[in-house]
Amino acid sequence: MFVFDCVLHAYDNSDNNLRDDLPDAELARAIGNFAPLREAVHGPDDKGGSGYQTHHRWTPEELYDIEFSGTSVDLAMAQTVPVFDWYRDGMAPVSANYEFASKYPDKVLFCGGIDPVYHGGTAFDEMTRQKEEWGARAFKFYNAHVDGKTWACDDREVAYPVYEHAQDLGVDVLQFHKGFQLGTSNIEDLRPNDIQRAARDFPDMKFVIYHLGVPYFEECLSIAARFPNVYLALSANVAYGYLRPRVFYKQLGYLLSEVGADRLFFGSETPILGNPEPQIQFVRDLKMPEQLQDDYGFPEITEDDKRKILGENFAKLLNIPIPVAQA
Amino acid sequence: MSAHDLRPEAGLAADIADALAERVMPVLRSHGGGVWVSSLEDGVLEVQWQGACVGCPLRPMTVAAVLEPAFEDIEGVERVEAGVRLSPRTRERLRACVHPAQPRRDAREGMAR
Repeated sequence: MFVFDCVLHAYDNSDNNLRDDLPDAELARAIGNFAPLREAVHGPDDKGGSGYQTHHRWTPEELYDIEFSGTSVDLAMAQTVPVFDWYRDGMAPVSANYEFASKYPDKVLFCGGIDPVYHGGTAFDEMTRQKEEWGARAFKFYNAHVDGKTWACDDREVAYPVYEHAQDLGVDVLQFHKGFQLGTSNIEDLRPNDIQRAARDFPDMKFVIYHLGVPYFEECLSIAARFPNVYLALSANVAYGYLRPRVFYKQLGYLLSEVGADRLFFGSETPILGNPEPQIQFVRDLKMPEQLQDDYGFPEITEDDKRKILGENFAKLLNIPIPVAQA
Repeated sequence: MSAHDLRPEAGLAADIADALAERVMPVLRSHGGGVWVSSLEDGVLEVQWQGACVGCPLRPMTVAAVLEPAFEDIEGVERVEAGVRLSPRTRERLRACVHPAQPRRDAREGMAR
C-alpha cells in the first residue's frame, strides 16, 4: 500500500532559536519536549524515537532515519511551521525543512510557510522565493499568536492577498493548523470557521485543515462536508487513537459518513512521535467497532478507505503519480 | 409495444426523470435542497446534492426515506449512490422505520398548475 505522510517537521528546538525575551519561553521548551509522547506510542524503551535529543535543530539525516529507515513510508512532506511567538527563526524554520527536502528530493517534498503579519511587507517576496528558488509545493499557515499578531483566514485585507499571490505563483494548496493550540494563544483563534468564506471565495484553491480543528471538531466536520475544496489532515488525531481510541473512531466514523474518504490524509507529525510505522499500522488495522456501527450508524472502514487515507489522496492533491506497483 | 421497448435507455431516463420530478424534488425543494443525477452505470444511479442538502447531516435519512423509495421500482436502477455511508444494520433500521415520502397529490397538482 502506497504511503504518503502528509506532514513531518524539521524543528529547531535549540537554545539559539528560543527567544529569551519572553516570560513563557520555558513553555516553548516544553512544547519541544516530545519524549513523553514518543513513549506513549513506542513504549518506555523508545525504540521508535532512535534516542535522538529533542532540544536541537533536527538534521536531514536524523529525520530521514526516523521517517524512512525500516518504515513503509514512500513519500513525505516537510512542512515549515511559521510560528515566531517563541522562536527567532520559526518553530520549524523554512530553511530546515527545505534543507531536508532538498537532500532527499525523491522522498521528501517541501512545504513553505509564511505569516502575513510577522513577515509584513516581505511576505510576498518570501513566498516567491520559497516557490521559485526552493520549489514549495504548498504553503503552511498558523494564524493564532500570543502577542496581538493573530489574523483571520478570511480577512480580505490580510489573508486574501496571500492566497492571490499563491495563485499567481501556481501554488494551489494552502494548509492551516486549526485547533490543537500551542501554548497560551486563544483557542478560538484556531477555530476552523474562518476557512469557510475563504473556501467560498477561492473555489480553485485547496484548503487543508490540520488536526480536525479539535476541540471544534463538529464545525470542522460541517465545513468539510459542505466545501469540496476543503481537505482534512488527520495528523496528531491518528496518534490520539493511542490515548483515546474511541474518540478517534467516532471522529473517523463521522468523517467517513458525512465527508467521505476522498479528502482525508494520513500524517505522522514526525519526529514528535518518533518512527511513524506504529501509526501507519494503526491505520491499516482500523476496524470500526460494532457498537459504534449500531449506535452511530458509522460504516465499516474498507481497504479502499485505508489506501486513500494512507497515501492516494495526498498524492492526488499534489498531482503526483503513484507507482503502478503500489497503487 | 411500448416506447420503453423501442428505446429502452430513453425509457429508463424518462422513468428516472419522472421519479426525480414527482417524488424527489418536491420533497427536497421544500427546504431549499435538491439532487441531480451525475451518472447511471451498471445499475448504480449516482446523484449529487444541491443547495441546502449539501453537507447536511441528515442526508442518510433523505436517502432512506426519499431517494431509495423513489427509484427502487425502476427497472435498470439497482442502487442509489449519494455519497453517504452507513453501517448495514443502520441502513436496515432506517429502511424499516421510514415510509416513502411522497408529496401529497394535491401539492403535486398545485405545482403542476
